[in-house]
Amino acid sequence: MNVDKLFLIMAPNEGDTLDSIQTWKVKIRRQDVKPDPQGRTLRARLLDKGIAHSFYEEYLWAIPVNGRKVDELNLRETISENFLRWREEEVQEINNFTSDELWYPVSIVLLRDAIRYALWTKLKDQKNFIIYKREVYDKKRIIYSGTYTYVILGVSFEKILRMGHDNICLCPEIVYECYDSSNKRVEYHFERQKNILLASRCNLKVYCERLDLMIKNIFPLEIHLSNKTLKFNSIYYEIINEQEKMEQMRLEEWL
Amino acid sequence: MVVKDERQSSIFAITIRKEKLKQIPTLETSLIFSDKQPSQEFIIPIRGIRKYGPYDTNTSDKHLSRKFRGVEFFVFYPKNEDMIYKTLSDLISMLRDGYFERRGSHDTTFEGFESEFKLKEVFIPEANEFIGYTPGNLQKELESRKIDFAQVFERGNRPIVIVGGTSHRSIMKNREQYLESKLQFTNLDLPCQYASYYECETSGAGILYGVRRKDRPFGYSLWNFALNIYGKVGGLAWVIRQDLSKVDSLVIDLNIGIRFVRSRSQKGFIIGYVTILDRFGRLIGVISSSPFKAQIEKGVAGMVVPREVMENIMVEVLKKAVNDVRVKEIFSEKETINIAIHRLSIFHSQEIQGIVSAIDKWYELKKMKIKYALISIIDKPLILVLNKLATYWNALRGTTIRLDDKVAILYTTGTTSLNDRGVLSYPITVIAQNLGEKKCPFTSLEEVCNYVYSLTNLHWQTVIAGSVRLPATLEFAENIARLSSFGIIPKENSWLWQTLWFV
Repeated sequence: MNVDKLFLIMAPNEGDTLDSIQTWKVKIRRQDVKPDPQGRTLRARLLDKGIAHSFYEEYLWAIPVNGRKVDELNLRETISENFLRWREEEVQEINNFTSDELWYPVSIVLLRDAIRYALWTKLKDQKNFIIYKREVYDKKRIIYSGTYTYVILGVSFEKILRMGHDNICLCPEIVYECYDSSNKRVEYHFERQKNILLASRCNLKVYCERLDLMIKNIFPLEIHLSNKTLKFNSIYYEIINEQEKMEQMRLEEWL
Repeated sequence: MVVKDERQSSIFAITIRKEKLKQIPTLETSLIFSDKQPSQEFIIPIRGIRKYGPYDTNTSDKHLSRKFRGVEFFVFYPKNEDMIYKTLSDLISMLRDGYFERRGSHDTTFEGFESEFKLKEVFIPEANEFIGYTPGNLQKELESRKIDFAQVFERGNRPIVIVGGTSHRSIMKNREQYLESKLQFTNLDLPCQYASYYECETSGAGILYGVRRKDRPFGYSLWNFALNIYGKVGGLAWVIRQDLSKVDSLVIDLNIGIRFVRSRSQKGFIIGYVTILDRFGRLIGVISSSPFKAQIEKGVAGMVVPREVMENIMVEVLKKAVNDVRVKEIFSEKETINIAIHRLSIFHSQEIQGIVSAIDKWYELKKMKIKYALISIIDKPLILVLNKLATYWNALRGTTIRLDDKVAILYTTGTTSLNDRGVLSYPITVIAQNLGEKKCPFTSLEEVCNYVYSLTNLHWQTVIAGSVRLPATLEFAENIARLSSFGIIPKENSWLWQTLWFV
């Protein structure tokens, strides 16, 4: 008798595949970034305009993540606002987005920006949620309450894996944050860790219930990546064992 | 500080292949407490030790059998710390006289150190014989006692020092107390077991804090404490059989784990620590590299060990291994030696070149054929697996899912039955980097996963089965690297190298 019915907690992209992605490449140096009067990072400034970026091999690689196409945005204006000088610029079609060469230095950086932007766009009007990079916390989901502290629930989309040669999946995971009675993040490491540890001690069924609670506000999630739209609908992926596969084939034959 | 960034990096190297996703069968590793134990008997540590005794009391192998009659305890506490003194005296009396309370349903008894570990004699001091010391002045206190420590060996026994203190691994406060005791006793060739007491406004931590909490089970903590002591005096509580393949009698002769630590004396430099275990899991030795500047390469996550550094490390490892009396005989009888090298990151091509070059050199020098497996482990959980047929959906310990031809996730910890309520556990990711190549001793990912799984049982740090995630090689190397970074390392020829002084 089979004692396992296994699922992976991962959300494969069910939208466009990651080939032929239109990207801007601008010969530019990181040192030439203009300082921001408000002290914002370049990433924050560009993401405000819906642009993801990465520096690699003397180039700035940038793509719109707000649903618009590369040719629909004024790149020159954005560049001149944020950089002191630059040289050549070109639009390039990337066909090796998930290759070993680009994945770590370029693709994953762009994807992270895209996820961050998509989460912000989707949840910005919901006051319960705190969005921190690729983590979303729900202020109302209190998981553990101590004498002076409480722990709230969140979900992280930090982990992104390649799937085949032209796709990706997200591996969402539960995260927690600890606050004190005046709603300030607890900074004392021991207290913070202890409370988070107590909150996170649960079996997988409870973990999945918590994950579902968070995910239902976020999925289906559409992430725009230049001319592509990635779609994430479900976080469970069943592992079909060989035996079950064979049984299914027999059924098909019988029909 | 043990370099952490290596934990992150390998994730980027992974690609899931939908068509390859499949559950891989793993064999449960049985712990062996006696050569007479039936091969199919799966027994948990406490039951095994009680039924058979520690393995080293039962074996006829001259290299594995116990070399000491008894254990003599020395107990130290910081002066003017009444709570430490009191809780330490409670703990020590439990070690001597046993613990028979049942604080809740999930508790266990302990019949005393001498009885449980089948020792001929154990000397455990009374509370009034504990030695008070002033933190910061421990070295001075020890000067007059060196003779007492030396006499222990003359009686055929082994010494162990128990130090109570207010330092705890989860906080930085009073860390110097812990480091001082480890450093001073290691310098004197004495194994040291630290017992922590930490209390804050709302709670606390450490075994001494646990002694006081009458509402919490204490038996397993006491057992773990005792097992650590047994390993630190050179005892071997259990071994495992390496049934790695269903078809062949494949055995890995040397297990090598590499961890890295930042040099404290040379800014920006890294030191590698390599642990070498034999096929029974015994520590053969530790090699440290000379400090090197890790290379950061464009497009490569994490650091890269320069080729020549890796080559030197491997040559030293092989030298150390073949000169060890315990494995020398085995090696001389074998045509090909199988080794497995683990690290918490992908092996970069420069590092592989270094390893290959060392192995080639060794062949030219000694005519010894070596097959090697490069096994990367990612301890940061990648993907969780849930089992909908289990009451609480927990994936059972041993659950393994292939993600690609060379990559699998493996639950080395977790529940053992479908109805177990146990809390969430996290899998590790195993990457068999050179699987499929001629020089790799493994022929399938299944073999590699079984091998890694079996090595997680060789830790001797806890009596709770399935609670250590990483293979012993990497667990040990991490501990050694961490302590070494504070200058805490036994002398080259110290007897401590035959023990688990670092757990």
